[in-house]
Parts: sequence; structure tokens; C-alpha cells
Amino acid sequence: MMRFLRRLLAFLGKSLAVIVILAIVGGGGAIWWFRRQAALPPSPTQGDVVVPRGTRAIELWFPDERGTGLVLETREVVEDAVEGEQIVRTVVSEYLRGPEGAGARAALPAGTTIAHAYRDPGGGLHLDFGPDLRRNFRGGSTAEQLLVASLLRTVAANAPGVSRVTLTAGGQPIITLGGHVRLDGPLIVSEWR
Amino acid sequence: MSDVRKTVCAALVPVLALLAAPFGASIAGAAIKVERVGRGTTETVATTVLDGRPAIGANALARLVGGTKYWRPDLRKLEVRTVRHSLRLTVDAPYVIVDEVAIRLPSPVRLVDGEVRVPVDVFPLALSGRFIPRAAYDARAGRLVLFDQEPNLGPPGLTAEGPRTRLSLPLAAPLEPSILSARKSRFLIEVAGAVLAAVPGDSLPARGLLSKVRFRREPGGVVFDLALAPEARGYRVQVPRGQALLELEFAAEVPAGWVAFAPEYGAPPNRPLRVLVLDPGHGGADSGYVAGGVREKDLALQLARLVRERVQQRLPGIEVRLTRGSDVETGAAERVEAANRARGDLYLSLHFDGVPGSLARGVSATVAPPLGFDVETAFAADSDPRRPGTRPIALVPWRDAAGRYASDSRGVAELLLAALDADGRAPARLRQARVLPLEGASMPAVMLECGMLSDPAERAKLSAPDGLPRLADVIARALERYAGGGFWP
Repeated sequence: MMRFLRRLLAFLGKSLAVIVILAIVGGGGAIWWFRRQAALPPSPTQGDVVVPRGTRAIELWFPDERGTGLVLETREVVEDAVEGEQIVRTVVSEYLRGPEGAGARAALPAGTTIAHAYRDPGGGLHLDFGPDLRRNFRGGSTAEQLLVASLLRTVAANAPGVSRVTLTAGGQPIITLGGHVRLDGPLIVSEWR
Repeated sequence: MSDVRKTVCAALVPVLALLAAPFGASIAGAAIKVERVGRGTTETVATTVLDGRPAIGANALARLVGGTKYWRPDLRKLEVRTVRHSLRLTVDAPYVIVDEVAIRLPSPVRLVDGEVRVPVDVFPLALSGRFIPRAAYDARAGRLVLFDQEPNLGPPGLTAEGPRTRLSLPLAAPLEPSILSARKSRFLIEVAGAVLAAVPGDSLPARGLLSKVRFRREPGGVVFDLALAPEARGYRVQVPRGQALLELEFAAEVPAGWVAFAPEYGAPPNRPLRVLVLDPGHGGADSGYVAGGVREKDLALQLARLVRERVQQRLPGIEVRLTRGSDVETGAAERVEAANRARGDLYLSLHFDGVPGSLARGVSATVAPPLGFDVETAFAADSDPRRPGTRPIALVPWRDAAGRYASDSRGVAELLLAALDADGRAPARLRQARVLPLEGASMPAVMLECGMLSDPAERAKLSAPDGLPRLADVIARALERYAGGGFWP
């Protein structure tokens, strides 16, 4: 028996023994690390949360930097209120912050604020922006069309029940921002998809 | 000895991989394309290969179904809720619970890098018919198709009998087809709001008078891109009474009630160009887009004067009118009304574009979208049989009036854009939208953005002494071709 063991040890050699030890230590380390990772909660709700708080990803569409179309950006937001009630205001507020990623630009002038967002049960949405929107808008027909398209697509993506959007600034109707797109009536979401 | 060492080392690698697999060992997978039919968007979503299957993150899953996530760290469960449905994912469990029903997955849910990941197969297996009307996953193509609405059109059927060829599509909803282009070489029909039932590929084999049949899912509907044989003479697009069917028919003759194809290259346009109305955009207090001291209203007025001069030289028989001859502010409706009163044959609204803070370049033309029906044929059948020869009055809202001439407007726009593109002003884009300067135009009408003032190079080119004269030459040449040579170059 001893003779057999001596032969086996000679066969494996010193280097092989080192590899086996390393494999066992490495495997143990990997198991410890993956178990530790598995115990962590997902990033959006990290922290001591007693009552689960809902989070949802929202879709924000912004004009691309080449002025040819829209690009998608997603963001995680906490949804505290009842489904559908608060989300429109949250979405528009995030949209007003502008894009975080490269390759996109904000459609609305910097500093534009949302004063009121009212959703009626018939599928209408009324967004009242601050009065600065009218004064600060700069752009030709492409900028104007991309603004309306990106805002309406963002609203439609996150609040599918909205079919018409009316825009006002400082409580007053906006006839047009740059002279190319009529904004003094409800905008039909399906026409701008 | 060295061979033995290699063998043992090779054996250790899979052993370590097996040890790690239950704890979420993953490798980055290829991104999948997510096509949202009904919303008309396509996006790319990253995946991870877990247990040999591509898995999608719960964040992306919840976003795609419009759900809110609730994480229970003590139970290692994630719940995705929408108004009507709930989906429960339990880490390391090979199933999900949808509305209290357990559905087995091909591989377990895992927690990797702090995010719950679930095999993409969850869409067709568990979410289709609940969270989403329909979902299909094509693993080979790496494509996930989500039908946000139930299909309401098709599948298409193609029949050829004698001189007639018919493309028929069953309708599950009242849909209005619009003809975008009625050329034999490119017959485009848009069906707004349509969700096309699954069609293998995106085309049908050519048959009869149809030499090409392609379908395109676009935002807001489906576009049929057809090409016809030269012997085609007439067409009819109809929803037969009492039948839930959309029929596109083509014939080598023009039977009564059918529409004859318009003459194409080499023939004059349907509407002879006698009165051309040029509309220099903006004016007065409305400067339009301003960049680097260059004002859109000034360029537009100068350009309109130059185009008038050149058109009058080239086409002496044509009357050219300007909606404003000086720097005054005039309302859009007032301009269009003046053009309508003058019985204009073509309305060309001249503008210069600008997208601040972007890399935008080039020119664009905007035309009104077509009406959902043809006014002439829609009302012809309703004439009073007791008073032969009379026709009812067709009432079209002011905002849609330009839509009656959508097809002709598109033809002029394509001609102008082709000429500007050839002059090195690319990219040249054609848009279809209701825009204020064209509202109410009772004639073919185009809003032409002749350059991007936010681009310093284009602005310098347009401001140079020969900038506007050269641009006016290009536009006048295109108008000359329109007046005498037909639409299509």
C-alpha cells in the first residue's frame, strides 16, 4: 500500500500538487464571492426597505444629435403613487432634465419647467409649462417637429392611455413655437408616433 | 509527465465552471433586437447567457411590459406588477408565477451583479397573452417581437385572374388606407393604425401585374410597397360593402369606377403650372431662426425674389406671386388665402432650418399627409339620382385641405430635393406632416427648408455672395422641369 502511494505522489509531482491546491482555494473563493453577490438586493432598491417600494423603468425619447430622429434613453424611477396617476408628471420632469447619454440632445430649452400636468379620463393630457418656453425656444421646423415628436412619443411610451396632448405655457395657449407646428389645439399622439 | 499535467489542468477548468454555475456564473450574451409592433419602434436590449440560455434583466423586462417592480430581499423574490397582471420571479427557481399560475422556464431565474435575470423565453412562454397581447422570440435571429396590439390586418392573399391582379387583406378593425404614391414603379399605400398579422419574410412572390410586393411596419401603421408591370392601366383600393376585407386591385384596363394611372416621365404634370406662389417664410417681428447674425426671414425674402426672377426668365408664361414682398409680418392663413384667391397651381414656402446644439445638416421638404379618402370618388356615389349631373359639396377641414394634393405635392418635393441633392446640399429629406405654412393650401404645396443655418459651414455657404443666386438657379431649374417635363427624374 505504502509503495503504491509513494508511486502516486511521484507520478503527480510537486507542480501538480500546487495546481490542485490553487484550484481548491480559487474554487472556494469563487463560491464565497458568488454567494455574497447573490445575497445583495438589486441595485434599484438597495437599502433597508421595510415596505417594498415600486420602481419602474421609464422610456425617454430625445432628438439625436444629428437632428434626424429620436433616440431612446431609459431611467429608473420610484413609483409611490397609484398606477398611472403620478407617472406622467414624473416622466415629463425627467424628460425636462434632458438626456444623460451621448448622442442625444434636449428638445426643450434649458430651464423649462412643468407647472401642471392634468390627465382627463377620456385620454386627454394637458401639460402646462413655465412661461419661459415660448421666449426661450430657438430652432427651425426640424427642431420644432422633433420637440413635439419626442415629447409625444415619451408620453405615449409611458402612459399608453393618452391619445391627445394639449400644451400651454404659463397657462396660456401656444399658437406655435417657431412658426411651423400648430400647438393651439390638442396634438393627436397617433399622428406623431 | 507534462502530458499528465496538461490533462489534469484541462479537467479542472470545467470542474470549476460547474462549481460556479449554480451561483450565477455568466457570460455577456449578444444583444437582442426588440421590435414593438403597433408602436413601430425597434431597440436593442443587452442579454447575458445563463445556463446556456440568453437572459434579460428584470429592469428591461419590466420596462418592456410597463410594469412596476417590487423587490423582497428577504425572500429573494421580485414582483413585476401592471394594473391587471403580476409576475413573480424567484431567484434560482426554474419557473415564474404569472397571475398565480406557475410556468416552467427552460432555465432558472438568476441574480447576477445585483440584478434579477430571466431567460428571454419568458416572453412567449409566460407573458404573451397576459402582459402583452402577443410575443414571439426568434432565437436564431436574436429577435424578440412584441405585439402591443392584436393584429388587425392580413395575412395578405394575392390572386391573378386574366387582366386583373388582386391583393386582399382581411380586416379586423375599420382601417383607412392612404395612397402615398401612385406611380407604377412605386405604388405606396399606407394603412394607418394597422398591425399586420405574421407574414413569413416581408414580401410576397411577384404575380400577375405585381412585380414587387413588400410590407413595411412603420410607426403608426403598415406601408405596402408595390411595383407594377408597365401594362397596368388602372387601380382600385376599396373595402367592399359588407366585407371585412381591404382590396387593392390592378388591371390592364381602366374599368368604370377605377382610377387610371397618371402619365409619368416625359408627360406634363396633371395640373399645368400657370400661377406659382412663392412664400418667403417669417417676416417683420418674426425673424425665424437666427444664427451668427443671419436671419431666416431676410434669406427667405432674398431667395424668393431671386427664384421669381429666374422662373420669369425661363418660363415667361408663368405668373409668379410672392406672399410678402418686403419685411412685414403676415399670418400663415393670410398668405395661403391669398394664394388660393390667386388660383395658384403650386405653393412653395421657402424657409431655412436650424437645430441648435446639433450636428444637423442638409435640406428638407415637408408636404401634407394625404387624406384618408379620395374626396372626388368618395362623394361621387352620393350624388342625387333625381338631379343628374349634380354633385354634393365636399367639405374638408381647413387643416386637412392641403392633404387633397398630397400625391402631387410629394412629387414636386421629390423633384426639388433631387435637384438640391445633386447640387451637393445632401442630406435631402422628405417629411410628411401637417405644418402651419401649408395649412389650407388648395393646390400642391411644399415647405422647403433650403439649408441648415445652425451649421456654420452651411451658413457661410448661404451667406456668400453667390450662395443664394446659386440656390435660386437650382430651384428654378427644378420648377422648369416640373412645369414641362413631369414629376419623376
